Amino acid sequence: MDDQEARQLVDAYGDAVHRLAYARTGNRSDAEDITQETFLRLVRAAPTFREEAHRKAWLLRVAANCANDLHRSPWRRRVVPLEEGAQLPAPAETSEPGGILEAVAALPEKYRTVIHLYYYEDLSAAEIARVLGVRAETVNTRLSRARTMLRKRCKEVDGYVE
Amino acid sequence: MLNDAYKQEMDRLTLEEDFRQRLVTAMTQEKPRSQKKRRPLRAIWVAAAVCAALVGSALALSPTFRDIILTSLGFRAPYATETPTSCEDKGITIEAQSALTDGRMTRLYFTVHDPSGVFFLEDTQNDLYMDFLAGEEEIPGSAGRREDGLERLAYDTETQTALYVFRIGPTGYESATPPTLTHAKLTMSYYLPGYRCWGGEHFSGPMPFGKPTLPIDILETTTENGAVVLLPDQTPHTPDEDCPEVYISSMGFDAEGVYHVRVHADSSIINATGVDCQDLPPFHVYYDIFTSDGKSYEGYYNSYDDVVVTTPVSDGWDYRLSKLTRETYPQLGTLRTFAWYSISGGYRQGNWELTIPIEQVEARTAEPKETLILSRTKDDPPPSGLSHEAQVSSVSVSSLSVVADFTRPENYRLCADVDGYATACTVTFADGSTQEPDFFREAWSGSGWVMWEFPEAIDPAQVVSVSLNGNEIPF
Repeated sequence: MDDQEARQLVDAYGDAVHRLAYARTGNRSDAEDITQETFLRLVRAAPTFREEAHRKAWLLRVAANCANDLHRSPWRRRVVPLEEGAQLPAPAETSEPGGILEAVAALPEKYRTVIHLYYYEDLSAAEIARVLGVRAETVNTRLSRARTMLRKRCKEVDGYVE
Repeated sequence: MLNDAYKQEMDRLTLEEDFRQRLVTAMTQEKPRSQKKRRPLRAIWVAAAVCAALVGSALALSPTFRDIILTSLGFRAPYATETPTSCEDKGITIEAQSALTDGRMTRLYFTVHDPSGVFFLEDTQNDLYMDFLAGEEEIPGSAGRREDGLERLAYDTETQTALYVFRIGPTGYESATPPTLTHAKLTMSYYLPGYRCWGGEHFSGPMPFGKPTLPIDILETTTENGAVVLLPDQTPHTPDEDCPEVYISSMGFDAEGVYHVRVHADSSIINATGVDCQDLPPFHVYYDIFTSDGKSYEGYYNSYDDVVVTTPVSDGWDYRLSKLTRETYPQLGTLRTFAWYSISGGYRQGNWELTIPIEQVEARTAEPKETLILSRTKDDPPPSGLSHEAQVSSVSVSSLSVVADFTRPENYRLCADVDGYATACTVTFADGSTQEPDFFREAWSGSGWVMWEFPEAIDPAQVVSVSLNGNEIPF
């Protein structure tokens, strides 16, 4: 893959992958690891996508899988810090104290992804099911439970959860 | 609103330019997994000539090995035929040491010398086989799997030489007098280093009860040849510690509602299901589908059938399970994928063959003075109408084994198979000592026999009686 093609892919989908990874892990360093692994898998797998929309769906699915594997898979142990990356100071965490990101981050892992895909990527339950490889009913259940938990946590912030 | 607040906060999370640039650089340096290329069948024998030159000195049987053989032969040791016959191919030398038989039980002691040591690794397989000759007649023997009687007695790491014993009992069910074995023929056509067996069970029936949730929709693409295959890496997997080279990359339905399993395989692995299969995919996919009422099977399908379409993909293979659709999915019983492969280059073929004269050892035979009937001791009840007992017709003792032959008791319709493993066998000697030989094998088919083996050879002339479940048969 040449520099230009890689750049276009990172610019087009890097943030989406990174945000999903962050939503899942709540940790920027882990999210960057997942982003890196996801894009490297894209290069290694070199899949041919029938539609461009499939590329994003595939990247999100792989990112979700990588997040699942984060603490159990040897791939993470093999992740080599990107050149010079290890010397850079870690960016400040994004979530603000009392903010919605912090509330989402407090949810159990499996709920964070559906919340992110639903509220940020504007995907339907069926589309989330397709990305995560679960049934749409499962997505709806997770969304419902996540909302309940968020509502409880954010009850002081009227109107957050509808 | 949640989504507004969430988006607002999440929008602030962007990749740093520095990270983007480093990621781009890493991507340009990463290589796509190349199309799997099967290596042609080949054997690389490093410095084979040198190894062959070294064999001669290594073959001298070490005192330790000789001691082990003598101990194992016990009483027979002074008489055992020493037959230092050897063969060598591809740097591996097999040398026969001693062979003897009582007509039913045969023991062959031999050494294997492999300067590379690969032959002796835990994950190396081979097709060692022992047949017999009775004069001109060939008598089929048994493959050298451990459960069939091949045992490594010792291994000398300095000389990379191991001592084995091959124990083979009768291969047929008949209790008729076996032919007199004159020679043992030891053959090996390959050894297979780095053998792995991977078997993933995804779920099993009966369906639809207890069916786990699986991805319903999955992303797919079309290959240059027009085949629909799944995109890779869509199914989470936990790496298999023993078989990290293979895993399920994606599984689910394509847009037409047909189920696929896409498997990843490292390009280095080689099919290990047979010497002639090395250019084929190492995977085997099996599934079965119940009838809609769940009472019987509609069909069994596997990747050898046309109903499973195999398509090579960049990092493995895609299996399209034509009979497993959204409609039949609720009736799915079992879906399994297996792989048998080598991580060390596949089969290493050669031609090793030894023919060894066998020394005959005499056996003594006794018949019970009174009718002796043993009861069936297997846990499962016998089928209705069958007898529960078998009559001991004779017992024979050689320096290697004890064999009890059974027949149908008089006035019984059939001869039941007693449980040889659970039948106690005690041998009493002239000096009053006793031995309990190890259960070795049994065979039942209308009549039957049970064989026990002496760990160390005994002198059958000293046997005064054999007791079966406490019933003494004097000699």
